[in-house]
Amino acid sequence: MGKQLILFTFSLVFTFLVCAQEEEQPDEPIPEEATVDQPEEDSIQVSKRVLTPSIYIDYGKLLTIPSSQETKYEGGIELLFLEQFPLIIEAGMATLNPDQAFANGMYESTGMYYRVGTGYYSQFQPKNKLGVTLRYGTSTFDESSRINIISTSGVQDVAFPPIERESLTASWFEAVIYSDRKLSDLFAIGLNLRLRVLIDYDEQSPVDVYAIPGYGRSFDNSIPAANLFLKVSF
Amino acid sequence: MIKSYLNLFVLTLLIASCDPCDDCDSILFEPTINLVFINQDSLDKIDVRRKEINSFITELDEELRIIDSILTHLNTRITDLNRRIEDGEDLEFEKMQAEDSVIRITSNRTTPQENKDAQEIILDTLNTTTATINSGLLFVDAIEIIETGGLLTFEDSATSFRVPLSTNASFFNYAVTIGDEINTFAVDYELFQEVDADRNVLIRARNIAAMITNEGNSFDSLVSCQENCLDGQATYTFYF
Repeated sequence: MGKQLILFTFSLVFTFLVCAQEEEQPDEPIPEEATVDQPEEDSIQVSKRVLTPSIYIDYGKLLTIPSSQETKYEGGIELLFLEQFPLIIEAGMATLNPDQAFANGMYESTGMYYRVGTGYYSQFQPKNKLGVTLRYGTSTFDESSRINIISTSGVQDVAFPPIERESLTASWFEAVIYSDRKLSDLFAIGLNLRLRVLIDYDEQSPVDVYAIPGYGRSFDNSIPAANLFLKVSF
Repeated sequence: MIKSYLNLFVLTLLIASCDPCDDCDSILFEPTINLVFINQDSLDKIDVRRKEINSFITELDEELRIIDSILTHLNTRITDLNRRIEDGEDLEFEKMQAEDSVIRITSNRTTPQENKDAQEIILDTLNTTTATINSGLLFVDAIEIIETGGLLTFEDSATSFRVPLSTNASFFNYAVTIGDEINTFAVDYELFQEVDADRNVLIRARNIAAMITNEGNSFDSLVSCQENCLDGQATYTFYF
């Protein structure tokens, strides 16, 4: 948890520093005539698109495919109004097999999760956007585990009933700092820095839920996270 | 160059996919209770014998006290006779008689003293045996779990014996073999699941109660755990 907070803070500071540096050193020199012949403010407003639809995938999640502990896929749809106000719908699926769930057993949590949110983007640089959004996330998932206990005395077989739970749910809020960089008219890459705050989940007793797809460990009331995405805008 | 990067990438994938803990996802554990067996019959017999010996030692002490009193009296008389002989009185014969008496009585004192010493050694041995029995130190041949036929055997004497509780039922019967005697008792309890601090999922037992089960038992009484009767902690003492 401590490492995640440090990573989150570092990523946040790093993002702002990179953006600030780019503000001081623009990518392309502005032609002199452009400064002389500034377009009228009215004409800029006219050039704003009313709706910019985009889809994006979280390519960072693809790095989890070789991992034995988790496999995640995530993507989203963004409807950007007036180039400033996004409506975001995200969906993902995850299969989580963290070793640390149970020291004496195998654990798997698998399910789908969705997030919806909105916020505000600023055209921070000609090719960069920076924004803040709030999102509500919900997850529906199944848990299964196999617990292995060996009789110390060896006089009996210890059979722990397998844990099988279906259609568990959880919900949470996320505060997201959004940044992207335009690669072309079609493509952009970006980073979402998230702070997730758990609202509730289907608590289980005596062996509680361990991992919630889309959120993280159930006993962490807040979790920082980062996502890398590739966005295609139309 | 690209091939080198490709090899490095494949190697990284292989390392990432290795699971070093394939064989360590289990734990040796089962709920247990502690049993202590006190041979009360032997304690009772020893107690009777100790009382007899103490009574005998008291008699010997009285005998020795009388002898010592006589010897003190004779030594006082010899001292007095010596003083009077020095003053010129003719009391050599009386003195010789008194000294003969001292030698004879001192000789007679040896037997009760030796008897007392011998009885005290026996008493010490009995006291040690009592302490050993009270500590529960005992050789138990075997404890059998009747439901499963599981047999626990013990190589050495011990003051307490840890026996497992069933993880599949809330009731277990046991047969304890001590020497030629086989005694039975039963334990019932409530099973529950627990995740410990190391994230081990365990089957534990609480509200554990033990009882002596049949009339033919030589178990006379049982002192049970009274509060927080949790596996791993609860102790039950059987007297037989």
